[in-house]
This record gives sequence, C-alpha cells and structure tokens, in this order.
Amino acid sequence: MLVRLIIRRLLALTLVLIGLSIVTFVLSHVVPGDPARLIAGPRAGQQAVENTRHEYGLDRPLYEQYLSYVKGIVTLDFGTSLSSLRPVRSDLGQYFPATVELALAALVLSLVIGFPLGILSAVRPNSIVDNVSRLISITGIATPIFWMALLAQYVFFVRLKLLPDGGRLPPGATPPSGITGLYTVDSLLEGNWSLFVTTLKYLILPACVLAYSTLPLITRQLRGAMLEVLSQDYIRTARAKGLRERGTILRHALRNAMLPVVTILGLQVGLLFSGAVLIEIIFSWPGIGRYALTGVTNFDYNAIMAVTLVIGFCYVIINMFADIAYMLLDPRISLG
Amino acid sequence: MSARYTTDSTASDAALLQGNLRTADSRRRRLAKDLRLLFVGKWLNVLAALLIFLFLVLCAFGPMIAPYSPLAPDISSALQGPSAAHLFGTDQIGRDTLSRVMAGARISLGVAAIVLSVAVVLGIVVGGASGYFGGTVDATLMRVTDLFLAFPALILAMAIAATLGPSLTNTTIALAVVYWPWYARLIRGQVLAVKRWDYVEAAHAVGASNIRIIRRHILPNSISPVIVQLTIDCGYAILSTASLSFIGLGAQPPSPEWGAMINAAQTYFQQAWWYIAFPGLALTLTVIGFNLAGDGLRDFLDPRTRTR
Repeated sequence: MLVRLIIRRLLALTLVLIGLSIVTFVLSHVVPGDPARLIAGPRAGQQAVENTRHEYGLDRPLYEQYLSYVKGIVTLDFGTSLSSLRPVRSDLGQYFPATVELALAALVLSLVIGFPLGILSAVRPNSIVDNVSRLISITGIATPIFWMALLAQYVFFVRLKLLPDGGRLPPGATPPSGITGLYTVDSLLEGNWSLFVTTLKYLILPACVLAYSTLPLITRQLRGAMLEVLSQDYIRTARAKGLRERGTILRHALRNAMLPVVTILGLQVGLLFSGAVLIEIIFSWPGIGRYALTGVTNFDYNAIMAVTLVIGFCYVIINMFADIAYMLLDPRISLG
Repeated sequence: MSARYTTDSTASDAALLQGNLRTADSRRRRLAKDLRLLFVGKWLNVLAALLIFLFLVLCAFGPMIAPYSPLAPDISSALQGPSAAHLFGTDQIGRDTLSRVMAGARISLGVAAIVLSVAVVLGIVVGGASGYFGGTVDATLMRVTDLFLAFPALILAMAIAATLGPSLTNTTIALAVVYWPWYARLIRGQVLAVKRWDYVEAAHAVGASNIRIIRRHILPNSISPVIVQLTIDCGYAILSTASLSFIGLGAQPPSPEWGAMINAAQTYFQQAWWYIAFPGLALTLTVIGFNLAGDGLRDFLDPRTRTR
C-alpha cells in the first residue's frame, strides 16, 4: 500500500520534472522572440546573428531543440555564463553551497524558535506569549524581506558596529577547505574554532532575517494543530488519569500536531529560496540568488535559467520527501 | 451549521413571500448588523479597515494631496532628514519622500488589480471547467497548473520578468502568470465540494430552479474563499511587485513605486535612514492591512465562525 503510494509519487515526480524543463525551455527558447539575437548581443550584425543561430542549433525545429535542451540538463550542461564566461555548471558548484548554508541556518533557527513559540501559544491562548507570537507572525509575513535586511544592516553594522555588513568571510581570509562547502560545518570539521566563530558572525544576520520570514508559517501551523489536538478526548483522558501536563503536551499532543507541520515544509523551502535570492544581494552573500541577479543585469539568460531550474528541482524534490515523510508518520496510512 | 443556514434562507424566503424584497429599510438593518459583526470588539478588523482606507485614499487622491511633486528634483535640498518642510525627508536629488510614497500607492494598486483580475478570470474559466467536467479535462488542466506550481512563485516570476525584460508591464504579466494557477486550484476545489453537498441535493428535491440553486446556494458558498484569497493576495501582489522592482525588474526609476524607491535608497542607506524606512513602512502596513482584512473576512463569511 505504502510502497505503491510512494511509487505513484515518484511517477508524478518525473512528470513534474519534465514540466520544469518545458517551462524553462519555453522561457529561454520561445518567449524571447529571437534567442539568437539575444545570445549574439545587441551590437552584433545580421551575419553574426545568423552564425549564432546555426551554432546554437536555433534554426532546427523546436522539438529537436527541446530534446537537445533536455540532454544538456541531464548531463548538467547549462551552457556558458555570459557574465563570468565560465560554464554555468562550475559557477553553480561554487555558489550553491553558500545558499544551502544560508537556507539551512534559517530553517534551523525558525524551527528552534518556532516550535516552543507555537506550543506555548497553543497551551495558553491569548496570553502574552501568544500575542507576541501573533505580532511576530503578522509582521514576519508582511515585512518585505529586503527592507528588513537593509534595516538589520543599518542597526547592527552602521549603528552598533557589532556585525560585518556582508560576505561570508573577511576579505583575504582563507575559507575552510572542507568537503561540504558550508563554512560553519567545514571550520568545525577542521577543528578551527576561531574561524568557526568568524563564519558564524557573517552568517547570523542574514540567517536571522531569512528565518523571520519563515517563522510565522511554523508557529501559526503548529499553534492551530495543537489547539485542535488539545481539545480531543484522548488528551482529556490523559489528564484525567493524572499524567503530568508536560507529558500530556509533549508526548501526546505534540506528536500528532507535528504532522501538519511536515506538510508545510515544502512551502517553507519555497520561501527560503525566494528570500535567499533577495537577501543575498544585500549581504553580498555569494550564493546562487546573487549569481542569478547579476545575470539579470548582464542579460545572462543561461545563468538565470539554470538557477531557476535548480531551485525548482530542489523545491519539487523536497516537497516529495515531505509527502513521503507524511505517509510514513501518519499511522492512519497502513504499512501493510 | 446547515441548520443555521436553513434558518437564514427560510427567513429571507418569508420576506420574499411578503413581497417586500430588500426594501431600503431591511437593507439598512442588514448592513448595520453586518458592520456590527465585523467591527464590534474586533480591533484587528478595525485596524485592517483603517489601513486599507488610508491606502485607498492615497490611491485616489495621493498625487493631489501630496505637498510636492513626486518627480521634480530640487538639488538644493538633497538628502535632508525629516523636518517640518519634508516630514519623511528627501532623496538624493531632493524629491520629497512623503510625496513619492503617496504617489506610489496608486502604482502598486494598479498592478495588483490587473494581476488579480487576470488570475481570477483565468482561475474561474480553468478551475470551473476542471471541476465541472472532471475526467480528462480535469486531469489535463490540472497538469498544466502543476507546471506553474513546480517553482516557488517569486522565482518563476523573476525568471519570466527577466526573459521579457525589465519593466512594470512585464512584471505585471509575470505575476499574472504565477498567480492564476492558485485560483484555478481553489475554484476547482470549491466547485467540486459544493456540487456534492446535501443541501444542493435537497434544494433540487424541493423543486428549486437551477438558477436559484446556483445563485442562492452554490455561488455564495464557493465564492467566499475566493474573496478572502483575493483580499490577502492584494497585499502579496503589491509585495511581489515591490520585490521584483527592488531587484531591478519591475518599475524603473524615476517611478515612485515603493520597491523601486528602496532599491534607489540602498546606495544612501548609511547616511539617510528615512529614505529606506518610509517606503518600506508603507509597504509593510499595506500588506498587514490586506492580510488582517482577509482573516477578518474569512471569519465573517464562514457561517461556522460567524458569531451573531
């Protein structure tokens, strides 16, 4: 039963992945009237445009172009970046870990703060904690993340001079030579404590701003689910038989309330990536968001489409894992 | 819940029999009751109404009541802090930030209105067809929406706007493209759910005409989530427009669109906090207003949470 559900989910996944490639193909090959002129550049003569058209195979029928486009994606060949003049693949390899580190840090932060906040505001509705969490949620949802980032920079860098204004490391510093590409993890693996502290100093502000935008989703969802669970009979039974309140809430209620939170993990990831794109420019964080935006100003469509595709891919995959995790966690779906 | 609904509709049917259908008096009483339900003791709804009212006033009269021109430069008073002459300070070429923030509201609302109209119309056509016909039509149309929902919305909008070229028009197109699938999904779900409900069957059984069933039973019950979503999305569409303008894709300088203003202010943020602070504050308050209004409307329109 469960295996069949998972297989069906994987089949749906391939359909969605094909969809991803169709969308980026249409955007890069069909929408811009004449992609050859785009690649050749605005100053190229007619002959140069024709040469480009032939060189890139843009004079072939669309379905052939699509097939070679998909072949490129599958072999991770996204073409050459027009701004860095390197293969987009190696650019992505360089910038992607930075985005992952930022997004993971923000995710951890919002879980660590969001869980206690969500539980406490459900246990004591309309208390001070609940109202503070409501205020955080409303402002977190409504505040433009790029504005928040600029304000944070103004307060902690310009005014208080507590934290650096951007980047991952001070200029000239040697990054840790680890394998993960996440500076905080790598510096710890190397046992280089002072480098770890430095990387943390650079990471903390962008991660907090990003977490602020994803936090509301967790606290609100958890609060709602907890309130629903807490009103159910088995909770009353647990209390009636004399179980301590702490045990009732953490062991009985939270377990069931966590299920719906898993399903919004996918939404979270979408928010994290969209937010990262906006935050990375402000904090000069060398991730794929900043890379894509440099692409926007340089008309570097290969870079933009590759980043769009990579983010879409991560989004879809993580959503699938969230679905499967839900199936595994939900006792109502039998494992037979 | 359904019992309460029946009472409501019997009461109005009785009124219909008496022949005084919606007299001015009953309409006024109904409005007074609705206002009481919406605002008495609900200060978040009051706040939402005030914020939206302020925003709409700015949209209607902003350029007229603004103390200065939003576009005319005045180099002699560049980058001045807030003062009696310039409450929100001035920007790098001496334009009054307050006047620019006031003028920006109209741009934001314009984009949001176009984006959401397109999204709703496409959503009703696609979602309605999907839910009504079912089968292959449904499967095909929903696979199409899947294509658009496979990316985080802002990322897809960014890719589309980047392909079309940076301009406010292209940003509007990009946002319409990423918003409509959500409405198609929502409306399809509503049509499917309402079609099956017992009271629709019951209405059929007592001989109500199709038009009456659609008007009195299906529409009121399937449209409220759409209204709620539209209200909330109005804020989000404004926020997305500002985000795209901030990264240079949407409104272009010298437009006083709020995101574009924050983008321009970035360079001066170390010496002129007001230049960044006020457009962002306007943006935040607008989004909060629409968000709270959506929540309030949801409670008001849902018969289950509607307190009398």
